[in-house]
Amino acid sequence: MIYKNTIRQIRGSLGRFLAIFAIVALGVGFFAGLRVSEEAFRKTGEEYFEELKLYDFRLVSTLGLTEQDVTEILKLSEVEHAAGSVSSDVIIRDLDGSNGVLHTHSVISGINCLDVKAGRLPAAADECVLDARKYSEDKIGGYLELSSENSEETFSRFKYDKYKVVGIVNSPYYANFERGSSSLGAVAGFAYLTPEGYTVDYYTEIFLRLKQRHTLYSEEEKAYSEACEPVLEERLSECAANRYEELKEELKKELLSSLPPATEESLGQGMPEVTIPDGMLPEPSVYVLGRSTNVGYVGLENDSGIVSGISKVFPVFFFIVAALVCVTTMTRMVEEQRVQNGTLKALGYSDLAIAGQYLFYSGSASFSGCVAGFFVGSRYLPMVIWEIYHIMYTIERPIVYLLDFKLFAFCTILFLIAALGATWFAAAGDLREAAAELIRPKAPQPGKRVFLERIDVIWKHLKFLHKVSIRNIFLFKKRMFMMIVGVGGCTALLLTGFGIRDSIQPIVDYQYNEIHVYDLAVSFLEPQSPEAQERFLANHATDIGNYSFAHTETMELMTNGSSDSVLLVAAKELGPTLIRLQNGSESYDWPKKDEVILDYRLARANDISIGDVVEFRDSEFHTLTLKVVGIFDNYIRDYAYICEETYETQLETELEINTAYMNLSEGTDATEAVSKLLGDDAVASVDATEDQIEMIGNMLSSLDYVILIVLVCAGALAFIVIYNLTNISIRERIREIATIKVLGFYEGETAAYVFRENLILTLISSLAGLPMGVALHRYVMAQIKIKSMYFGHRILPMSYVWAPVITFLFAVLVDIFMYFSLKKINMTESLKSID
Amino acid sequence: MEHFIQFENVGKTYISGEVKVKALEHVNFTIEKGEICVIVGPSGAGKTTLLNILGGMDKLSEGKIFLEGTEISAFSKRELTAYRRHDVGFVFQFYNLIQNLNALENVELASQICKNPLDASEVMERVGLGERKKNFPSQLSGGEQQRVAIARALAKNPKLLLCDEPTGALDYVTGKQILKLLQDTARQTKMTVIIITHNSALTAMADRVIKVKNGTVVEETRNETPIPVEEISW
Repeated sequence: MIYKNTIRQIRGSLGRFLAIFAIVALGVGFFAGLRVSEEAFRKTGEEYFEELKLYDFRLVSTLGLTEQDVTEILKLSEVEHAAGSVSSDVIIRDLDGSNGVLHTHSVISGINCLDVKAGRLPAAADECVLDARKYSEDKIGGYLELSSENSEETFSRFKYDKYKVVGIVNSPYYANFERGSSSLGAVAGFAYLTPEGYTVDYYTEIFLRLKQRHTLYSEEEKAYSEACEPVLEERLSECAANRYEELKEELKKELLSSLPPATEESLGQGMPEVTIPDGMLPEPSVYVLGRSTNVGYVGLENDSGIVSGISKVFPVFFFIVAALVCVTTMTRMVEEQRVQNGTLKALGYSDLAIAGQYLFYSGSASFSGCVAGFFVGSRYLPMVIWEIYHIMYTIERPIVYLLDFKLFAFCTILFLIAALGATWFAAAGDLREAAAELIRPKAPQPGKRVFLERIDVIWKHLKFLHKVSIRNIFLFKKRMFMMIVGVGGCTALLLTGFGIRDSIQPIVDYQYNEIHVYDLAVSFLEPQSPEAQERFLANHATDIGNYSFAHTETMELMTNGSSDSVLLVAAKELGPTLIRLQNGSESYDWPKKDEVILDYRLARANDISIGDVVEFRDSEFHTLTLKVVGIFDNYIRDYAYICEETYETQLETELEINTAYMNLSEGTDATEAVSKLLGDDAVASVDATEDQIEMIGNMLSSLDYVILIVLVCAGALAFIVIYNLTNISIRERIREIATIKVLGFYEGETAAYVFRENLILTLISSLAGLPMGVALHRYVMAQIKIKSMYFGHRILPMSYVWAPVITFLFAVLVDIFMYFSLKKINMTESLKSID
Repeated sequence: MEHFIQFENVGKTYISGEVKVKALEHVNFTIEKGEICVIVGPSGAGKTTLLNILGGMDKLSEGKIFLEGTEISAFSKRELTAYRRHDVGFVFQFYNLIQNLNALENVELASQICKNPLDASEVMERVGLGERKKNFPSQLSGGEQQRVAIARALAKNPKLLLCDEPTGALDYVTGKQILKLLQDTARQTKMTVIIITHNSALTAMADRVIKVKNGTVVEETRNETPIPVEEISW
C-alpha cells in the first residue's frame, strides 16, 4: 500500500519528478556524450586506417631502395606486408595559368590503399588520380600536365609529360587537410600514378605494415612500434650499405670505361685502382619513420584529446546542480508530507519504509534520467562534434556509434549516489522527529533582521515590499546557495560560450591585419638571382608598393619524439609594413646570426622559452641549430624567422630567394595585380591574404556549433534550476501567498511579491557567475589545441553584458511560466485550518 | 428595505470528479450595518464556506449576495480582489501572519494597499501592542499574534470584519480578551463584525445570531440585549 502511495505521488507531482529527471539526463548526457566522443573519434579513425591499411613504417634511404630490399624487409618476422613506392614532387600546370606543386606517389597494393570518390584507380602508365580535397569530379577526363618549369632531373623521373585523370581519391596517408610544403613551393595536393608512370628503377621508400595490430593511439601500439624500430633500422642499414657497394661498383665500371684503354704493361701491374671523386657518391643515410611523423595520424590523436579535455569540466557543473536540485526538491516533498509521515510512523512503519518512498521517487527519476541521457548523449553529441572536426579530415565516414556500458554504469552509480544521498539527507532530518511532532505543523522559520537593515540610510528609502523581498532572500540560505551555483553557473557557461567565439572569430583579423600585414606572398618557381629580382620588380613596378625578398621553406622543429611543421622564413629584415613580430606590446628586432624568433603556439606546445636552443630539420634532413630570442603572438599556422646569414652559414649554401612579400601600391586592384603576377613566367603562385581570410573564415564557422551547444546547455541549466527553485518556493509559502491574496493583492502584485526575490537573486547570482565564467573560459581555451592554430583567451566587453542579460531573460521566462500556477492558488484550500 | 448584507437563496456545491458535495443550500438571511453577528453551528455545517463566499474568497453555485445593494456574487475576479482589498477585513483561526515581517510591517502590508487606511502604528496601539511593533511573529504569543491579525484587518478600515474562529487556538482568558476587542471595536467604530464559532455560549454577545446546520440556516434571531463579553463565561 505504501508503494501505491508513492506511484500516485509521482503521477501527482509530475513537474517535480521531471525536474530531477531532466537535470540528471542533461548531466549524464553531456558527460557520457563527451567521453564517448573521444573514443568514437579514435574508433572511427581506427576503422578508417585499418580498412585502408595505413602504413606502420616508412623506410627511406638517400640512395634509393630496390625490390631486393623489399624482399629483405619482408623476411623480418614482424613484417606482415611491405611494398616499395616511388614518390616525387612535381610542378604542374593548372588551368588558370598558375603553377601548383603536387606530391606524387605510385599506387601500391596492400598498403595506403586509396579511397576512390569518383572514377577509378589508374591502370595504364599514363593515367593518374587526383586529391579529392583539392580537385572535384569534373577534372576526370582532363589531363594533369607537368609544367615546363620543372627541372630536367624532375622531368626525367616521369615517363610522360601529361597524365589522364581517371578518378579522384582520398588517401589515408593524407588524412588531414594539410599538404605541407616542398622545396618546389607550397603543395596544393597529391596525385597517384601507376609504378609504370615513373621511369626510375628504384624506390624512393618502402612502406610496411607490421603483424600485430593494436588499438589506435594506445600505449601498446607505441611500445610495439618502438620495439620494431631498431630491428628495421638494422636491416635497412644493411640494405643501404649493400646498395652503396653496388652503386660504387657500377660507378667504378663507368669511370673505368671513360679512362684511356689499358696497355699491356699497366695490365700486368694488376687492375687499375679507380677512386671515386669526393661527393659523387655520398654515403647513404637511412630513416625509419613511424606513424608519429604522419600529420593526419597525429592530428586526429590531438583532436580527440581536446574533446576529452572539455569533457572534464562541463559535467561537474551538472553533477553539483543535480545534487542540489535533488536535495531541495526532496526536502520540500518530505516537509509537505510531514503529517502523512507522522501518521505512518504512528501506524508503525519503519523509518526505512517511509524514507524508502522518497528514495524510490528520486531513484526512479534519476535512473530514468541516466538512461535517457546516456543514450541520447552518446548518439548525438559525438555526431555534432564530429561534424565540426570533419572538415579538417578526409575521413569520409560517419562517426562510429559507441555505447560504453562501463561508462553507463559509472555515470548511473555516480548520479544515483548524488540523488539518493541527497534524498536521504533530506528525509533523515525530518524522520528523526517523533511521530507526534511530525503530526503537528512545523514551526515556520523565524524571521530575522538582515544586515542591510542596519544601514538605515538605504533601508529607510526602500519600498516596503522590497524590504520583504530582501529579507526573504537572505533567510533561505539553501535556496540562495543553489541559485548562485545554478544561475551563476548558467552565466558562467554563457560567458564561456561567448568567450570561445570572441577568442576564435577575430584571429583571422589579428593574423592578417596585425601580424602578417603584407597583401601578397609571391612564390617563385626557381631561385631568383639579383638580376631576376630586378626584372621582376621592373615588370610589376606600378603594382608593388613596398616589398621584401625571402627564402621560405617548410621545416620540422625537432623536439623529443615528435616534430612540428613550421614555415621557416630566412630574410634580411622584413619591416613592419610587411610583418610585425610582437609579444603583447613589445616588438622584436629582427633576429641576428644563429638566432630565431618563433610563434607562441609552437613555444607553448613544445615547452620552449626564450634562451632555449632548438633544432630545425629540412626535407633533406639537414639541420639548423638556433637560439630562441623571441616568441611572438601568432594565431594561424606556425612560423619561424631567421636572418640570411644564419641560413647561409649553417647550411653552407647560398640563400635561394623563392618568395617575395609585398604590399600593393595604392589604388591597385588586387585581382588584376594577382593575375598579372601569375602571368609572369617566374612566378609559381600568389597567396593573397584576402583568400586566406575567406578560407579560414569558412572553416571556423563550424566552431559556431560548439558555441550553440554551450548556449543550449546553459539555457537548459538555468531553466531547470530556476523552475525548480521557484516551484519549491511557491509551495513552501503557499499560505503566505494565499494570505496576501485574501488581503486583496491583485494578480500582478501577487506575482511581483513572489518573483521579485527571484529576479533579484538571479541578478546577484548572475554577477557572481561572471568571474566563474572567466576562469572556465580560460580552462576550455587551454584545452582546445587545434594544431596550427592558437586562439588566446579574449572576452569582449559586450559578452560580459550579454551573459547576465540572457540569464535574466531565462529567469523571466520561468516566472512567466509559473505565473499561471500562481493564479491557480486557491485561497480557501491553502488556508484550511488544521481541524 | 435595503439591508446591509443580504443572502438570497445561496447555495454552494463542490464537484470533484464524480463526487458532488452540497456545502450550502437555500441560505437566506440579512445583516444590518454595525451589527455584531455570530454564526454558530457544529463542525462541517458550512459556516466557513458561508464566510468565505461573503468575503469574496470563493464563488457560490446558486443564489445572490448583496452588500449595500451591490451584488457581490456577480463580481469578476478582479472586482472580487478589489472588494477584498478595500471592503473586507479577515481574521483567521491560525493568524496567518507573514513570518518574515515584524508586527508593524504585517499591518502595513495591508494598510499600504487600500483606499482609506487607518494609521498602522495607531491601530497597533489600539489593540494594545504599542510595545511590540518591531517583534516578529515568532516572538509573539498566540494572543498577541491574533491581535496583530486583527490590527491588520482593522487598519484597512473595511466595511466588514469577518472572523473565522478567532479564538479557536487561544486559551479561555486570552480568547475573551480578543472577543472583547472585537466587540469594543464594533461598538466604537460602528463596523459590522461577523464571527464564526462552534461555541454557542458566545451567541450572548451578538446582536444577531445565525444558526447553521447541515449547510442551511436553521434559525436567525435578533438579540435585543447583547451582553458584554466580560460577563459571559463558559
